[in-house]
Amino acid sequence: MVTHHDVLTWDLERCVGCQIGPRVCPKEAISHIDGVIENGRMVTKLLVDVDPDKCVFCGMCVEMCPMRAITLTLNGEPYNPVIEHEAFPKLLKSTKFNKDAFDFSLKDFVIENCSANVISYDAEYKMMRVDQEHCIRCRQCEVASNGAFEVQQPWQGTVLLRRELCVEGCFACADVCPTRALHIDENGQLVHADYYCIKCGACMQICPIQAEWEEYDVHFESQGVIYTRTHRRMTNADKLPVLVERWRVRHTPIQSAAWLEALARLADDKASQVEIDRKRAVHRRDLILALKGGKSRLKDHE
Amino acid sequence: MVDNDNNEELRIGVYICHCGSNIASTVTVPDVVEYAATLPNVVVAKEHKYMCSDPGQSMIKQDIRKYKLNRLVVGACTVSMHEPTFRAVLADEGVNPFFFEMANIREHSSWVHTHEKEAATLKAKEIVSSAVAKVSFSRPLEMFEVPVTRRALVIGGGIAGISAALDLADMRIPTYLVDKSPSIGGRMAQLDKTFPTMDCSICIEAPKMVDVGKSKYIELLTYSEIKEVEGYIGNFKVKVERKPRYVLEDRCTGCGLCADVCPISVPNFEFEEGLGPRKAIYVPLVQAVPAIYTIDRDACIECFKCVEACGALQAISFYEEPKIETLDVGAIIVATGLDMWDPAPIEEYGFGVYDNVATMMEIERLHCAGGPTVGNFVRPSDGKTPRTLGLIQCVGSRDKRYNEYCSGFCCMYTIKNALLLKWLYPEMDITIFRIDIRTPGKTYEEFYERARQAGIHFVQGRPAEIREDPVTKNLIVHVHNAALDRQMAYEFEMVGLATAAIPSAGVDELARALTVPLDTTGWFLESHPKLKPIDSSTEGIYLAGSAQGPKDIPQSVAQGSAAAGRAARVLNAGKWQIDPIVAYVDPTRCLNANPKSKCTMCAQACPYGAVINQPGTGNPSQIIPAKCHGCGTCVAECPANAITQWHFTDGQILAQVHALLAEKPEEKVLAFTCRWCSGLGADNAGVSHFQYPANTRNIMVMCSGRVDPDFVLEAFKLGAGAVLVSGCHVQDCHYITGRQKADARMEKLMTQLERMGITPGRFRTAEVSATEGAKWARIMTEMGEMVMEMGPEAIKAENEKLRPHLERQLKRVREGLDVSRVLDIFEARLQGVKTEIQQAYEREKL
Repeated sequence: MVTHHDVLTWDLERCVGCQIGPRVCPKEAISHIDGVIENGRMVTKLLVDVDPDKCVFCGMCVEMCPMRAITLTLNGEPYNPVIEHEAFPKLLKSTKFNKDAFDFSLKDFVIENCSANVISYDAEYKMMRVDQEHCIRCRQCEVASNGAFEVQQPWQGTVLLRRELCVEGCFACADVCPTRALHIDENGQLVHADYYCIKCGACMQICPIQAEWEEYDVHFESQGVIYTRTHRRMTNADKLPVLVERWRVRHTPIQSAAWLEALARLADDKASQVEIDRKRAVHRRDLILALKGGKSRLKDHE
Repeated sequence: MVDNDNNEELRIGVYICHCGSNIASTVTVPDVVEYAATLPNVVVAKEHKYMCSDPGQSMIKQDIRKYKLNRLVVGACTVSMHEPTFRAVLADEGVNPFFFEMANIREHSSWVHTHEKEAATLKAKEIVSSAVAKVSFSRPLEMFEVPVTRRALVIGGGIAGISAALDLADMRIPTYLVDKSPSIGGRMAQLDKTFPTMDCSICIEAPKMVDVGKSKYIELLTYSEIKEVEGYIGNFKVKVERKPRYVLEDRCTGCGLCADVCPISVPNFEFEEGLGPRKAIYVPLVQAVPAIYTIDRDACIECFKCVEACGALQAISFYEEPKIETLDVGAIIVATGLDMWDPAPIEEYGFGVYDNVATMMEIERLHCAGGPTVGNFVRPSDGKTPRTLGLIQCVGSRDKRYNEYCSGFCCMYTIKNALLLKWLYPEMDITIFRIDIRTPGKTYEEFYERARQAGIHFVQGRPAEIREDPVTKNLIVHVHNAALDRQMAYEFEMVGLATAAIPSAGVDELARALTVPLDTTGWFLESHPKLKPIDSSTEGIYLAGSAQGPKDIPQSVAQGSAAAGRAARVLNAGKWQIDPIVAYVDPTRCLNANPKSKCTMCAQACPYGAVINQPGTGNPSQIIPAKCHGCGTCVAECPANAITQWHFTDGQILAQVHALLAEKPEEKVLAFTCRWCSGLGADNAGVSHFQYPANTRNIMVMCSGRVDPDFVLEAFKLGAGAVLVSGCHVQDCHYITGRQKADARMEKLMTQLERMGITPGRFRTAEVSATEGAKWARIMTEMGEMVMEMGPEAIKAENEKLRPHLERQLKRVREGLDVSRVLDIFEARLQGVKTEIQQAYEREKL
């Protein structure tokens, strides 16, 4: 198109192969490339490939990428159509710096400690600067700075590490973990520090013991007709050495079926159901308030 | 001799036409007349300079009265030309029109054996004799009168289809206008200006589009495709698939709020050649008729923002599914238009590889004020206006590698684009590379002159290669400049390719559904290139605009209106007469009269479901005449010889075989052709004056599916030199599967004959389409020469060896209707005629 140049850039240096992109893609334009493990250590991480014929440049993967590895531009300017048209929420995430609470002697340590290399020292203003665009919200700085940095993570969830199920001598997940949440301690043991974990799920993807999925049909009714959609669920959750479950995401309020679908793909039915229930609850509360003559909170909220 | 059902005396009149000098210059007409007069039952034989002229016709009429003629044979041209004329002559005189036979001595003799006068005269005599033999066994038939549904269907909503639909609507004929895209308008809507007047294209087309939308006689079925067509003239049943738009047509107001909120932009390939964006919910162009949005589910991410924006209108339904609608119409107009050829296969031009090589349609959109750049002509690589522009003509047309034909309008639209750009950017240096410039149209040449005066360069030469400068993205065109006779290289900032016009995508399936043949290059084939350019070979189906071949706008409009006229002729008639050449089952012979029989052969053979076949009930099969298209495939398939086809009975065809092989059969090639492809192909060879040996003879049937193996065996038994069964290409069969059945049957026969020990090449099958006259001549030459090379003695000897096998195989041939009577007469005659001929020869020698 001569008037409309969409460019989707995938920074494979940043990408850890968490496969959130392929999962969230509504057009199945992104395919994954297997990683390689040799002698229990990761040689190549999982990667992705984008099919330009299928991609419609919607920007969902851009917003959802936990590693901030994807950028989308329109005629050279960053542009995210789904966010712009409110068809997708912005994930609520932030890294705040409280200058007064910071011991500047720790600055090199904090900079060194940042897993995404996004913290720098601004000598002119005597400030610590964070590249918000590329920060992955791992909270390493929060701990390293004794709380001068304050990080809000978008995803909440649990990570279950069961070393007894591990393949003997395999540390591939520690190799891929972008935040050092999964690491090898002094005793040579694989451990998980949940505080740093961003629930990206890259560990689960590289793990030699892969999750198995089954597809099942979900029936729902709309406009008097019953429709069927195929969802999928994990069948071997109890056999996986590492299991990441995402059960909540903080985001700006939104009304979009594409978002619910993305949620269902990323988490499970529960997450999207929770989302819908929450909306219904807000509507119910609004209705009651309105009946009492009060103001709608939903509208305020939005 | 009395040998018809009514015990009426046969009185045959034979009339031989000179056709000016077309026939007379090669065939000695008086000899043929003299010969015809000696044929059994011929009462009178005469000649005339132009039999089809008024004096010719009145001569026949007078003779019918004077000699009480009840059968008529005219030796002249092809059936597709004057059969109706002479049938009308008979009807005028109160004789059944089916008591007429045409002997084609022009296309099949004088025109193709120009240099063999004697042989051509002999052939003409035998053709006449064959027609006399056939007409002797004709039966009186009544035309069927069918009611006509007074509704029309126009396929394709381009300018040709729009013109046709509007004209039909003006005649108050309810009309369906079907288009596969979401809006009507077609190619014309995409153009910026039109040559040679430089009218704004969409400005003059849009009012017509709106008229279509408003007309209460036109029902628009956009985003729909034709799936199935059944029936016949006056009574077509058409199944149309309405693709789901996911937007309800009766609710959408075309406000466009949905497109505003849609986050997804994809290239608009439907209208902007992929140069500009459109949303996933879209109308292809702002002037769309109907102004109803469509959701492209391939691009949609299902965020349902559009549903929200549509609000109370509730026009969006993601759960819509494809619907099949059945339309009853009396006539169909095919106006499917053209596509532009994708020049990517020409690797040396680098289309799709080099950014700044564009097609002419892309250039059209780039300088159109309503286009993606709002009229700013820019090149794709850097968005700047090119200072130099090269335009290359005949890309993919007039090129033996791709399309051999000339697309006709590209010269003019390239000049138009060049002139327009010159007006917009006087500084721009424009060069057109041409082979020739073709300007056959009113004020077209003057337009070309205007372009030359405006300073546009014309270079004669077809560029050999385009290379890109990787830094500047400029293009270097290498060409042999014919005027200077030098190899030259030109540098341009942008290059446009005037690509060939090709038939619209999907016409193959449509042609199959309509059973209308395509020509060798994929355009719809007209019934006659000069006299019936609007009619297809199927009655009731008409062609308009570029469906039939590349056309510019005025031609398309004219053809649209012409097709409307042709269709209205049928639709306003109320009733229409159709040929009664249908199949008939003799209930006493049908195997299914026995309740134990499980025969379904006829039902399987019939592509139209015209057979009521109830095996196991004791009810003999029946054929519904209104559904029967008259191919005769079931006749040849029937294992009990219980079915016959009126006007093409086994008896009539065998009579022709006998007549044509009466003398020196071992020197002859006997060809069975279908009426539509091979028959017309043979005529085409005649019209084109392709020469081939004169020892060839034709018998025409409606479809190659009608050719019973018995005919071939009988021909060999009579001593034929070689036999050919020729029909359509399988996919073009006028009767859908007739050719397929014929193939299977002939393959079996081939094995049988081979086992009997026949020399390979003496029996052949062929596929010759209506446009393949050259192929017909080649096959005839091959077979004719083969027979001559083999020599009559060798053939006679081989035939003697075959005879016992053939006689065994032909034991049951007499069971068919008329057959035994025909054979009795011929065999009885054989002796008499043979002695007569012998005497005649001796007389001549003396």
